[in-house]
Amino acid sequence: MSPLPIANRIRALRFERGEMTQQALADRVSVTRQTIVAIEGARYSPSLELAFRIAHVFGKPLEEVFQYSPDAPTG
Amino acid sequence: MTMREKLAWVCLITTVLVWTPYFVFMALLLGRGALNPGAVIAAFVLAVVLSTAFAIAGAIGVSLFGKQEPKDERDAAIDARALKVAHYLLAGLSFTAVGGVFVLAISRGATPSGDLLSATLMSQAWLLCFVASEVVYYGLQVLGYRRGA
Repeated sequence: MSPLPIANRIRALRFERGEMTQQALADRVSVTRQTIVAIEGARYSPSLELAFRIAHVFGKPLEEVFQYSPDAPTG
Repeated sequence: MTMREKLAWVCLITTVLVWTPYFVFMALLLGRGALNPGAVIAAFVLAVVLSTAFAIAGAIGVSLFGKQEPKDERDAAIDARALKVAHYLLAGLSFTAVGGVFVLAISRGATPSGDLLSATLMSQAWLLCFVASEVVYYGLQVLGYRRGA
């Protein structure tokens, strides 16, 4: 399956935040750990609300967490 | 594996395990020309009871040994995608089944008022469509979870 055109820095941001686990992030934004895994792997594009919630956890603006790459192949 | 993926697996396996032998039995009855309502109703009741029992046992097992998780937006997206395909499949198969039963009956020399065009055969044809769409529904859910989205 090709990655979606929305890339993200969640993995890097988690490690910058003291190696926050995927489960801890999932609990903070009220989704399952598998949803965080799918978002990190660019296999699932989150809703705008979930994207904002994730960015809020890291204290970053949305565009520092998610980047749109229109040239990336879509799955 | 999330709780909802496990539940989708339980429903998929239960549906296939219970209804495949049922329709094989129905095909045998049809081949022998013995598709009478009594045998069909007995087999149907047995299949429904087994299907319900397996599904309940599976759901209890999943909830006992798995972590309780609320449905999130990815679960909803996977469910909606699977439901959409299953809906169109059920609609398409239902229309096809009516024609298919008619062609089958005519090819076997039935008259429009004969036994092969009975309500029993039509009901089994429609039930097959319904079960097929259920298998596709749960199968696509499992596939969605396995693919990660």
